Amino acid sequence: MRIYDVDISVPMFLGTAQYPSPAILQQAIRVSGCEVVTVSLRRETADGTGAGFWDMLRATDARILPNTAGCHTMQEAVTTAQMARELFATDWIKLEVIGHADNLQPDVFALIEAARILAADGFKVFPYMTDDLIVGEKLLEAGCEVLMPWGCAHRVGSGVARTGCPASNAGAFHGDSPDCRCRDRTAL
Amino acid sequence: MHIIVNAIAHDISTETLDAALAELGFTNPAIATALNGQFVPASARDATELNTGDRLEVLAPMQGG
Repeated sequence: MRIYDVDISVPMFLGTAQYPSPAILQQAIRVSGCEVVTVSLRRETADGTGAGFWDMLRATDARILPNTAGCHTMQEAVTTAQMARELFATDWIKLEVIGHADNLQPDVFALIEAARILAADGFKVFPYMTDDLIVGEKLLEAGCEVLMPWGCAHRVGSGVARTGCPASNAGAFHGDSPDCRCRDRTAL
Repeated sequence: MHIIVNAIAHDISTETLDAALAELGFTNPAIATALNGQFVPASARDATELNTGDRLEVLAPMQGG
């Protein structure tokens, strides 16, 4: 699978949340063979709790996909993406703009606006979106080459299983393979 | 000077972002900063002056996603 300008041999991304210990997370990355792991940014405390986690991740050689989890506005998401680019030295960003605090449904209006700003600034945007074909088209027009529909059945561990999720359907974007590759773009 | 750091009120005696981070104890190099909602790159912290009422965000890598 080619994602933006990177060839990925294991088409699975691994989250880093809720592991019992850093050692088990490290082991999970190694055993799974995943080449991409997702990470967050959170408010730092003066005692520097984030440093150890980052040192551990760097030791795995995994490609980092930072996210903008917890952002509820376009401006928050754009600023957090800029902070992540500096901190992780990557232009990849999983763009999340939360519209509903309880079920984490994306605010697709703010999402599209943020995606347009970030893509123009050189980011490789992975938008966390609803399963809406028009939203998908707008995100592609904004410069995204990857779509990440929420709650689709093929996303392991997703909170909401939505079979028939149209934006993840390969046919929706003229795709031709089970991994939802669409045109030269990818829905994850 | 009274500023808000990660949503918590602080009184600081320093006047630049770089100095304020040191005064507040943010010694971890793996941090990123934003002032009043705008990203401030590490290279610009020593030239960024603070004002009373400023909102400073200091973020670091965390598990998630």
